[in-house]
Amino acid sequence: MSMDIKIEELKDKSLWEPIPEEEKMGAEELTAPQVTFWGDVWRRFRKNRLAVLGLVLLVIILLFALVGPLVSPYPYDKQDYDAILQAPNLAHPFGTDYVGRDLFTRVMYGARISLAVGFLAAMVQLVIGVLYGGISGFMGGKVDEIMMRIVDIMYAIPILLIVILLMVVLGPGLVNIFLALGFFYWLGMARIVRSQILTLKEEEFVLAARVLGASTKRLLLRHLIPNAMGPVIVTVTLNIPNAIFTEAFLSYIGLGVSAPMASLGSLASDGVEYIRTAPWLMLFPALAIALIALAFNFVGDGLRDSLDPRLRR
Amino acid sequence: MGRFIVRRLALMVIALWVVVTVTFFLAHMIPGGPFDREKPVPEAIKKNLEEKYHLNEPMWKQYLLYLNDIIHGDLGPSFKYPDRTVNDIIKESFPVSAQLGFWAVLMATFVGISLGSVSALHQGELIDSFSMFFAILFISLPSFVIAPIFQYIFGVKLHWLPVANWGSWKHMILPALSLALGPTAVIARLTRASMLEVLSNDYVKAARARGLSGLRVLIVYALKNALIPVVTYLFPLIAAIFTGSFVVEKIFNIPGLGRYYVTSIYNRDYTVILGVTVFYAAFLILMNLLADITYALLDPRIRYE
Amino acid sequence: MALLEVRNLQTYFFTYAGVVKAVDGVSFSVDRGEVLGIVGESGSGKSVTAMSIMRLVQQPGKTVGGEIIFDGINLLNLSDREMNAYRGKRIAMVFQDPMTSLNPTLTVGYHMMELLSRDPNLKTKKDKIDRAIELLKAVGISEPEKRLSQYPYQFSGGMRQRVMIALAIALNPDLLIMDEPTTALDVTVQAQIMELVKEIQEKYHMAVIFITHDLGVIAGFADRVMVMYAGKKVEEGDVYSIFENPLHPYTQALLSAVPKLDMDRSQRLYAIPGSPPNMIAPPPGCRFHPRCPYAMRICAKKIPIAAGTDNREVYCWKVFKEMGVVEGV
Ligand SMILES: Nc1ncnc2c1ncn2[C@@H]1O[C@H](COP(=O)(O)OP(=O)(O)OP(=O)(O)O)[C@@H](O)[C@H]1O
Ligand code: SF4
Ligand SMILES: [Mg+2]
Repeated sequence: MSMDIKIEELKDKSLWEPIPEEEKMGAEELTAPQVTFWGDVWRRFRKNRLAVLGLVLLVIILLFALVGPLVSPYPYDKQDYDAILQAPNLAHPFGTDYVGRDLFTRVMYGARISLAVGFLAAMVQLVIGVLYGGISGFMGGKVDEIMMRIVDIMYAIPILLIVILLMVVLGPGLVNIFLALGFFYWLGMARIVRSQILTLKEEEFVLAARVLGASTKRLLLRHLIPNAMGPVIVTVTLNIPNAIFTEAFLSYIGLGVSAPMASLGSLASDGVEYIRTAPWLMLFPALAIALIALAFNFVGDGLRDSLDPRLRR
Repeated sequence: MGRFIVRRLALMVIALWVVVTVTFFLAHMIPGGPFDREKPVPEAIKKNLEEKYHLNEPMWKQYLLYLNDIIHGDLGPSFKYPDRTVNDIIKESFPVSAQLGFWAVLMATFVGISLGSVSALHQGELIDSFSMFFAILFISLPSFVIAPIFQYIFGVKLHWLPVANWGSWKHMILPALSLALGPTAVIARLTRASMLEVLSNDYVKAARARGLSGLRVLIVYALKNALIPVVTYLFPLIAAIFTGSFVVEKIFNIPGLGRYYVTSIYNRDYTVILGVTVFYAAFLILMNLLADITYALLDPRIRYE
Repeated sequence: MALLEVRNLQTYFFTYAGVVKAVDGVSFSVDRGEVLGIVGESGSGKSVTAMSIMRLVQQPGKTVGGEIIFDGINLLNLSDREMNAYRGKRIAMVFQDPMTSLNPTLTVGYHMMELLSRDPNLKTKKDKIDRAIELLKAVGISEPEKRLSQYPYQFSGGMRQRVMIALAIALNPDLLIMDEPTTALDVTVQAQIMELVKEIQEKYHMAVIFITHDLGVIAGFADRVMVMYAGKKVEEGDVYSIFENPLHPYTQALLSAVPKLDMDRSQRLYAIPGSPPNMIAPPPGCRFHPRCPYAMRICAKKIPIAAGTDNREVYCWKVFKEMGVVEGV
């Protein structure tokens, strides 16, 4: 390719003059493109079709759960004995149940509870988990040793069993579910944050900041927390479906919210008995749980991929 | 290795002790619970309970005696059916749950590992996108949703398999599938991620540069090492399958321990709830220990610590 | 005829962001028993060149053009199975990081026996064990009998690199490719490993391609040096002329640059003003022109053509001009 240059072409004298700085090409690319870290993450997230789909789904679900019940013509607990076990139709898009309640409204209420549980789980992880793991990792030594032994022991305990027991003791109800979940949902996060802090403490730039005399607070705020952010966010997102499942499971076995309130779990549980005669009673709540979990999983996966430092370049 | 196991063992014993202690004190907190002496209970049961749980003794002594019973494997009588003990119930029904759980675990590990490896080896190709899409789908479906859907499709509509109950191997397929699908998906994703990580490792490149055959590199270098992190999921897997069996056994009307457990929760048979919780906890904690030992066996750095 | 002749090698990575032309039309050759050094900044395509020869470039990378003639055969035309027969036996490779180059779950002995089972001269297990011990001795590992049953984590970094070298020479390859074999090691260990490499090269009279950042190492070892920049060869010549009289401005910069003090020694980089180019949209013409103090207008327009004498090759318009081929400029 370079061989097809003719000597004639090279005779142009101007070609052989020093090049002015502004005529240099590709020089602007020499400095790495100035994108912020989060701008970069967002750019990669946007390219992931499933992740975007998850985000859109999540927004739609949120809208239905928050606004839906307010505009629905049927209260969630209104029984209508003239409209029992109706199949999905225009008036009742998801049909009605065995006492004529509108399933669509009830599913929207259930989604509300699911999302509330998800939110709570996220909060518990972000507050207790991050604090616990952060303190443990940052303090190191004996404190770390003891704090992590406690986590190890709690980790070895089958959590769901204790949650079930707690619910038996505390009695059914949303607040009690929050309490029972709150007890345990920070364990994994504590471990992750701690290991993040430990690796980051070894990193050169932190050492360098130390050498330069950065205060502990500054080190924490400017270096450690922003860098540990990625795994934290991914873990939170991917753990939300677990919490939602646990609530649904508890409601399913009769330990969750009590009637006439509806959770997706108790709706599905009620529906199972009608699976031959009115399958929609089971199908729609099940679909709703699956969609919510799917949305969070898509978003979480997308976040993980776009935050992965190995894919970053 | 010895030290590692001793440490894990100690951890397990402590965890078990915590479970037993927590259950004991929780049970005594239950208002109107089995140990609420204000509660009107048939005289026979009351007497039974007082005798069994030494309700006349001070609390600490009750606790120690309870601990002693548990250590001797005595989980106490049923609160609702005084002629039955928790041990009877477990003896009768746990083998059923164990059988179901065994097949589900087997399926989840086998199918999950195969799918995950195939996906990793064909990263970015159609088969990879396909199986990973289904994996995320099945992760998003809890077993209590999958079970009735299977029941409806394969039992009610297509009549391929029995709708419910327990007996022949045919009865086992749907419940085992319902239990296994989610964990299968988790294992497939885990295996894929771990495999991709291992495949990008220098020792895999170096092995290929030495001209070892593709199959050899895959099995001896990639798969074996990729499975080490998957083993750490074995415990959560077994736990998930057994707790999943609570509802699946109920949905398919299978006479396993899970169904008894849920039934006893429904009719607040407190002593059975307690006993079965302790039993399940012990069982799962033991599984946890086994998973840890397997892990140690696979990783020489721990084996020769 | 040269043992290895690489012609116009092109290996590209097809990434989401665009096509990275990691190696873009590189040609060179290595004779039997000759040591070729390859130097260049990080990201210049040295490792990708090596991996292309081994035909082990991984997704999303692909060798899209050129020829790799080894002992008269174009490796790019071989089937996977045929290529496998070359790897380890005719061409061996040692990687940068000995800590990760051995399978942590297998003993060192396993690694060696597995490879030696491909040697038809070693019939019994005893033969193989003897040969493994002999090899470990040759690379300076004491108590080789005991070492065979140990796991990689029980070896230090330097020891592991010795094992890697033993594995590389186990089947008497004609060509040994070493991709920064000492970069990950401590300075004192680096020197020992270099001694070993030289000794082994002389003893077995192997051809070696030695990739490094460290010009000092090359000076004492290589016969010839190839300098790479942004996926292209910019200069090649025998080791003395390159060091005595570097012609390409990039080579000059490399030679005069001092290691940055605050750099980790394992990634010793030389501070040349400016930074390496964006490989997806590299500068047109001479890829070095945005950083070159002598850049002329032509440098941004046309890819430099080869200038130089018999055993010297330079791709630079300044050198071209000074040769006086084009009258009047
Ligand atoms: N898997 C990959 N995907 C995309 N680009 C890659 C990949 N591997 C290498 N490259 C690109 O190929 C180019 C050359 O990389 P290479 O590893 O050969 O550099 P090198 O000269 O060996 O550098 P170093 O001295 O750091 O080892 C780099 O610009 C890099 O970005
Ligand atoms: S061709 Fe031009 S820009 Fe490139 S090195 Fe030579 S003088 Fe510098
Ligand atoms: Mg390299």
